[in-house]
Amino acid sequence: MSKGAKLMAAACLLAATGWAQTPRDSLLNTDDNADVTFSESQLGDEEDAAQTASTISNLRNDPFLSEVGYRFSPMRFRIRAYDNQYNQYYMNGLLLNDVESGRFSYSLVGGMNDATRNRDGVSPYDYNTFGLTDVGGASNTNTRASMFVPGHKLTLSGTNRNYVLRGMYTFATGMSPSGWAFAGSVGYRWAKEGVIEGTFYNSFSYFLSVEKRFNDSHSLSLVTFGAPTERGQQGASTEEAYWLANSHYYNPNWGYQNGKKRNARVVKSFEPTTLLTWDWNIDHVTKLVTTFGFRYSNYGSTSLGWNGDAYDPRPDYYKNLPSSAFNVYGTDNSPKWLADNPFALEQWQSLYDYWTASKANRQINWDRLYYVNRQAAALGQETLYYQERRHNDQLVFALSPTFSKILDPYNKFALGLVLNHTKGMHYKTMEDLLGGQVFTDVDKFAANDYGLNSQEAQNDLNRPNRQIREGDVFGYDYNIYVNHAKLWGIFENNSFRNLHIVAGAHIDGTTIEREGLMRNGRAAENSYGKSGAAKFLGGGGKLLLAYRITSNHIFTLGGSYSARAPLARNAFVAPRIQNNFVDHLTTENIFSGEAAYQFNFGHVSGKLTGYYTRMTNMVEQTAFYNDQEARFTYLTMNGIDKEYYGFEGALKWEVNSHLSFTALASIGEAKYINNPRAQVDYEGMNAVTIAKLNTWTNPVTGENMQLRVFAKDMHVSSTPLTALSLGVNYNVKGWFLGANLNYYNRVYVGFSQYRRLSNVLQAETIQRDADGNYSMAITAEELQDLIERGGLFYDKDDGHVVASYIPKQEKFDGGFMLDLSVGKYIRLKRGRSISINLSLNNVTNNRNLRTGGYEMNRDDYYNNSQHTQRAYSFSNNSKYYYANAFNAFLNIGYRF
Amino acid sequence: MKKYLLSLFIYGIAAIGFTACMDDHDEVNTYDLDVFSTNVGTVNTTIADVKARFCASKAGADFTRGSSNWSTKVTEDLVFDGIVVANDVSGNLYQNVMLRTPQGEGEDQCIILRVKNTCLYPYFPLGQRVRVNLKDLYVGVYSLTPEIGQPYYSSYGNLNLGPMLFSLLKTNVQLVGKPNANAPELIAKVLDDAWLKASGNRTYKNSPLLASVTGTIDEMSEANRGTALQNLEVDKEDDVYGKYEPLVNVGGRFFKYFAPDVLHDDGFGVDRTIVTNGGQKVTLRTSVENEIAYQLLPDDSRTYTGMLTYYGNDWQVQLRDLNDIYPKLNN
Repeated sequence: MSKGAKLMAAACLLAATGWAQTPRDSLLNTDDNADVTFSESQLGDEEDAAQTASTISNLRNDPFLSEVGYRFSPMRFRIRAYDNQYNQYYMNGLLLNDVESGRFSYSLVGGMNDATRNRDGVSPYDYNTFGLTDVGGASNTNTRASMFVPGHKLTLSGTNRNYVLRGMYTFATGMSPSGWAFAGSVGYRWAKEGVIEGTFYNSFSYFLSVEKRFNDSHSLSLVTFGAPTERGQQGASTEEAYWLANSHYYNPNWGYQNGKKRNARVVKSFEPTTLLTWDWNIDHVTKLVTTFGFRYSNYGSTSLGWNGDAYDPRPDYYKNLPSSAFNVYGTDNSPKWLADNPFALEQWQSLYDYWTASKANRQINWDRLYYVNRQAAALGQETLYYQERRHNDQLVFALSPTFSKILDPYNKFALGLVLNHTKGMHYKTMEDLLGGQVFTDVDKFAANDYGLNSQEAQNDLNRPNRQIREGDVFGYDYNIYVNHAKLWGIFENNSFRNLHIVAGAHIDGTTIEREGLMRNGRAAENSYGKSGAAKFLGGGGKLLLAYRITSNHIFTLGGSYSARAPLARNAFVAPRIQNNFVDHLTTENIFSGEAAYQFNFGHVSGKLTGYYTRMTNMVEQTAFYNDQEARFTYLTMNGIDKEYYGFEGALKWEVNSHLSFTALASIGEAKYINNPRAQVDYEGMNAVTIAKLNTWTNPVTGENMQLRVFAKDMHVSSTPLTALSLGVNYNVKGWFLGANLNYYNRVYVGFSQYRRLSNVLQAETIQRDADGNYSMAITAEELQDLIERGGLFYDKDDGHVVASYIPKQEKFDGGFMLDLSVGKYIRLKRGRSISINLSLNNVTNNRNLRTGGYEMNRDDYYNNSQHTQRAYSFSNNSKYYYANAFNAFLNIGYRF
Repeated sequence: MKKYLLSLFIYGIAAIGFTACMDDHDEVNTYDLDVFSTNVGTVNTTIADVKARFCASKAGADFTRGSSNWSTKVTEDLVFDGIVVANDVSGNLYQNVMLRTPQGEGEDQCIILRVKNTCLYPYFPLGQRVRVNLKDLYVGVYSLTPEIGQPYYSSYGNLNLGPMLFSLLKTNVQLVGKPNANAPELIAKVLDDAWLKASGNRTYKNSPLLASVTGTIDEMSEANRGTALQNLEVDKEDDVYGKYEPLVNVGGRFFKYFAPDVLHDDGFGVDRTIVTNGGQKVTLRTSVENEIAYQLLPDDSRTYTGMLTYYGNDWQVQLRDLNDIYPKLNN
């Protein structure tokens, strides 16, 4: 066996054990100066940034897409407000998006910045040879060892973000005369405490690429990588909690245990991935690339759990907040009322004093959780508080052969097949009993509703009343199987004068199936075993027409349509409990079109784009702890129609070879345009009770109507729908200076579907008067209340819904953010070089920019006959995330 | 090539070292729990005196609602000791802890300490001596039952004396010593027909009380238990009039549950009636969401122990947990 073969075998072995570390390579891009400071600094934040950087953001020939992803990433900007599932990430021609969620997880390649830098982005309508792209575009990262520039690179970084230190070493041999090439990378990111208090970061990454070129026609490439990571998470909170903590970066997820900080929500992930690519150059114009991929993902996130009767241990639980003492937003706030009810202000003050007396008082009290559990154990009682780990593991096999051929100088095409088999394994384990002794695997909420000895209380009827120890699986355990096959083709034609045509089409098939590994007591007949497969046939096509007036002026027109299977994660009514599919499940439809003008007037170049996308028949599911019902709840919207439209613009003025100015604009709209069907499932309830909850009874006719979410005109949340930027770049003698002033606005809070359910909205009846007009016999105050809280007006005669008032969706205040960067590139002897980059983000320290948030799933009123208003106003207490305060990133790279 | 192999090895070792778990934590010393006060002051009063001063009459109360609800803010350091004799271990008592005068330290009376927290029993185990300083707390009655807490508006908009903030345990409540599961205060007062019948006993002094009552459940009498395996319509005029409760066939006889959800009233409880041998009636009130609610009512004579209170002419008992039924249930 040759040395190379031995090394390849050793690499495979190490990869399989999950600890493969190899020397790692460096840059693919020969131009080291391409280390744009922003990309360098921001890619490290990907895990908590909700994957803000679009996969197509490094599309180099597009002045908008090449800049926008990184420049706007501090605000979690998503291009056109599309969900990340519409951006595709390929590596060596294999699509790596998770078929259950549709998304690509950037943590997969975390800490491998240099190894994954050789990336080509394509817009949604461009020709490419690796796949037919979605409306969000795609990128393909080439990690073949021969593509890396030979040499070594050592990178050290310091920052005040999720991590504080990063070290990376990369190497590449280049292609040896014997046909072997090796490239590798190792990296480590660390923070004992990140910029958000109570978070930490501990991540190693490895990457190894081995390539053997057998001859001019055949080569084989093996790539394996992974990034075992452990990190503490940040949590959103209400404005009141931020005010009490005097910081928009208050993190309710941590608390003191024995005087040391402990985070309740800790992610541990490791997703070792291996790709084997066979490149067959059939002739100089014909190529077959086949990549086989294997991934075994281990992803687990901890969370506090508690017995159904135990007090909510979260420090910012609403009953702990001062505003739970009386309605500070309502009429209770009058001086007279407070004088008549002095106890209200006393309690408010008491809670205020408690929150502000010490930091420990507004964090999780771990010591108390241990105390309570030990006391309960001493009394022979069940553990009241615990920490569970929710696992979302995956086993993925994928195969992607792609055949491409250049027919002549004007015509070329590519044909490809995508096969993917994914087994998603979802379960939770007992992470820590927190000093408790006894924990029985029953649903505590169901035990309250049906009795501890009832069938409904059992999480697994096959193993009733199982005693749980740390590490044991409990609660739920199921697999989701997804099989996906896709045949696609794309053709490019340049034979017409000045006209460039790209046309593509695909057909695909998807099966989705659940396999329950527990027989749940709330769904005894349909939770254990296989659900049977739901089958979906999809397909679609796209067309791009580009008219080149001159080489400096190009008009393009693109359009696409596709029908695709719903995502597996949205396909089941209550996947933790049962096998039932969501009602009316069918393919989702996406129509998209755009018109663009790309220009170049001497020193000024740019691109203007208008786009429109309509998605119909979509399915979305949210799962949340329902404060109103005190239960974990699944709420599925089906038949959703959404619209995305807007304008994008990019302008660049190159004053000279040293100085340039850029302007970017993204002004769009993204919203729901109908009131979709709704389906609700509570974890602790049996089928009969749930059927009642899914009833929307017409108050006039008594008819049972389809439950709906009144979502029309709700905006897509947690991304700025308006983002503008002015930038200047100056470079001279190896120095690079940059400044960007960015403006963000129209970020909306994530709306609560629950609060907009047709059977949660207040019902009123109105009648036509003699003139046939509807008259509302309510006061202006009552009407205002309806508008704020939401309500439905029914015709008193026939019961049809005359008008609806939907709770308003909060729009956050806009604001500016100034980012600066400076870099120096130093060439040394014998091809060595040093690059130094310092980026300063949010220099003005704007701490008031909300990047996102969500409404609480609870009504402001009691469910009793008098419909009394609660003291705590949930509608005024959404939870928010804020953009990072001033932060810096220093990156030093030494190439040798 | 050796150089690369060496690098592979070195970085492999380094990786294992670097990725040591950061989410490790020391065991907690639970003896230093920072919930209660360590010194609320010197005992200067008794439960009986506190009740006499604040619960005997609504005259002078800071807040009143009707003739059954009032409360007064305590503005001085009134400190008393009590032994925990009832808590929420089963969930049947909600945010309530009943304190009883330590034996030999004053007139034997009880009072309820209301705290805004669920699962109080780990903090207040039975037999635990508790010292309470009433300053800035409120004392009064809720539906004529003496208690300590703070006023609040209920979900129906009524001003009641409700639970005190949990954080006030740090300033107003002290645990004294360790709990004694065999404390003499945990022995319930056994009530006979004469005691129950005597109207003079219906006073704030006897409410609340840790008491035992022996009798049968009226709803399980032959006349009321149901004669067919079908839902049984509740035929008495109360909050749940006209509703149907489920029956369970056990060996050809029909049984009812202690507190089926369908019958709950606005307080999320269900009332049954204990009839003593002498014909006295005591309401047995059970919350719908706890382990007692789903037990089948016995159809023979049993002894029920729990927190006794009165309202109007009615005595009412609430069990602490299933151990408060003797002989024990076997269903």
